[in-house]
Amino acid sequence: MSEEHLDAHLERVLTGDAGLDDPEVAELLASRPEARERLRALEELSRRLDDAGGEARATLDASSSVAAAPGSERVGPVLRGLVRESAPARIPIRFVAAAAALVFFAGLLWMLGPGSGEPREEPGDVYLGDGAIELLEPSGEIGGWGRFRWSSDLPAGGWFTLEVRGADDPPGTAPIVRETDLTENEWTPSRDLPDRIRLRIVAHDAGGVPSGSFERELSLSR
Amino acid sequence: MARFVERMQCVPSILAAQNARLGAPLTSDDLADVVQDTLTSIWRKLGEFEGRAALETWVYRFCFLELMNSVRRRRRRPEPMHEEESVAERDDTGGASPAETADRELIHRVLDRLGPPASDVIRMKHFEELTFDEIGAELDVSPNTAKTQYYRGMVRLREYLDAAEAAQ
Repeated sequence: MSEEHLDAHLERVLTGDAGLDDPEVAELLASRPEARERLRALEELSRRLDDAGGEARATLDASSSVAAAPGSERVGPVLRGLVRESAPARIPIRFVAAAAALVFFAGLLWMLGPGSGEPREEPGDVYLGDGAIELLEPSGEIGGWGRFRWSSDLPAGGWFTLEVRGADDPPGTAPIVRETDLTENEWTPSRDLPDRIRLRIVAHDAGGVPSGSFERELSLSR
Repeated sequence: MARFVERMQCVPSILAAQNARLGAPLTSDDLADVVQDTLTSIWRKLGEFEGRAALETWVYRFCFLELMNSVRRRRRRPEPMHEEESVAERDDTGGASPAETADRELIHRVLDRLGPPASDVIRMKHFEELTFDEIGAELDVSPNTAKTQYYRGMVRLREYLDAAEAAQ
């Protein structure tokens, strides 16, 4: 039996389409110890995810009965501050349709108009680790977008996330590019990017905790 | 805007509830600071919210991860924490142990590493308890496609977790 067939059978078991008493599944598990081990590991992961999901639901249930939570008074000022710092948002239509309540928010952003002319500041002080990442390429005059390379001591088992946004996109806008699993300290875009971009790279340790970050606006020289 | 601010009032409530379930490691002042960090994180990612999950469910992971970041920073501070500063007593109705909390934090972070669509399918299955028919309808794919994305995502997630646990 090929690896593809093995996965097909394990997928049926994991998604509930087949039980362990299914003849083909039973035969597979009896004859392939690695199939038994893979299924055991996936079922254990499924239980951990169920636990995490249960905790999330329990927390959300408990949150509905919290009265006067600390920081409640900051929600309005913080959000208004973020709106002021932003250019008009290009909020996806699906988002607006699904969360009709947020239409007010989108409308307000548009009303702020593109001509406010105030320099945009970075959003608040979100914790992204203590380490620094230095961009090595591109440097100096940038004629076109090619390879991006950066220096960073990636912790063992860690990874980088990389996001590219248009330089004028507000922080809430979905990135043009989002790579969530880079293990090398370089990346080459496979699509055209705008002349002015905002590049954000975050290094994570093996447990996913941010260990360093880099964020800067970059422009082509032309 | 007023309506949006009202909807985002769930953030301090979720943080306070989570803090209580963790045994109240953060003070009221700490929690108020985490509210600000969390709102900023949410703001950065707002364009990625596509209405597939309830807003509170989508917001939850930002609250949880920012809270854990803050707890980690607090532990690095030299000064001891005073009992009377705690915002609430430990929630004794099923709050998680430190080991369970660490495992859940790892789960959330490797799900972020996995990225969509697999991470969306896995969250819908285990966090929102949707069936594959419902997931397929939400993502506009067939239930069989949702199952395949789920399985492949689980295999990769397992690899990420193994790597993380080996490194630790």
